[in-house]
Amino acid sequence: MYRVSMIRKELVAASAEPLVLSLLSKGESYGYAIIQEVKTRSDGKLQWTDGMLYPVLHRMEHRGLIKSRWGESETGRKRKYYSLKKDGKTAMAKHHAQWSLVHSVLSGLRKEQYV
Amino acid sequence: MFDLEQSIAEWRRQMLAAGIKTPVPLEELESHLREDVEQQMQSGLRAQQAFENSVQRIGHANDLKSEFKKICGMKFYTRWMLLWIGGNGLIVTVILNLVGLYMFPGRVPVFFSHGWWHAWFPCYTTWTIFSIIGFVVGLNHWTQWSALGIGGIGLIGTMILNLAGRFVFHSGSSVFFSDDWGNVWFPIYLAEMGFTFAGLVAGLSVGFGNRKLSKATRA
Repeated sequence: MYRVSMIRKELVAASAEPLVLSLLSKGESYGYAIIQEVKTRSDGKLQWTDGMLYPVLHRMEHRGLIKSRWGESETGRKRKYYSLKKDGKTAMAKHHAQWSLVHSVLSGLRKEQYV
Repeated sequence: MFDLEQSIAEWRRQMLAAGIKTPVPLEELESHLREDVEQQMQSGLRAQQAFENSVQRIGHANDLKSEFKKICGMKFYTRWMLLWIGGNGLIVTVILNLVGLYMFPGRVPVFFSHGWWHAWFPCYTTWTIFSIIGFVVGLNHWTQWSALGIGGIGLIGTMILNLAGRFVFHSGSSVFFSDDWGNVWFPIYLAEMGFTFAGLVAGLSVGFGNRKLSKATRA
């Protein structure tokens, strides 16, 4: 098994939307927490330039996939929370189907190499 | 001595100078910056080091600006562009008709001609309806095709209806064959075509920007 190196930027960009949608399907969240969770779950291999998540979030909001509201953190600091909209759930289902397909094709090919 | 608040204020100034707008998205970025700095300081880092790390992680103002511009700019630009294309078909024609009345006193502008109710009213009504439909479609879909459609229908539809009017309403003269064509109608149509063409180019460039954005951020 190869050691997974840092994921290249094209794949990071491509996976941003499905990851954000999937994270938000668990409940509302905010930029910093989203970045931290992706970092932790990928063992630090999937890293965004922090600021670049925000244009992605705004674009998804503009497309009606997610919505936002200003709230406060536990310490009283202003925070912008994002949550999933109905169209976002549909988009997430599509992303999952597509990524699963890519994964199954890759797995199938990999198995054949060992036959 | 490092002053965190002063450094954040300076960072805000740089972001504003680069064109990052306030309150959105600058407030959101600042909230992120403060949270990141706080977390690092809790892990034992000194304020200066934490701040420098966070600023680096957030990224360069110009890069952020260009990413935000693609989203905010497109929405605003597209709405007004479509409103303008939709509106110009009707408004510009009315204005130019009235201008024509004063510029060429001997001539008869469309709104006062005999052919108005027979040939021109159906023609303008159809044009207006097409413009409104195109505008509504454009508001919902934001594609280059809707802008192209509005531009194209405005021009081609009017030409077809002009020609059709000539055959359907034998009494009403069609603009393209009337005596007034050369001196009154040609400038009007030229202006209309100018507007339509500008709308078309704008529509295509928005569409192109849209595609580039899709490539950059969509899975």
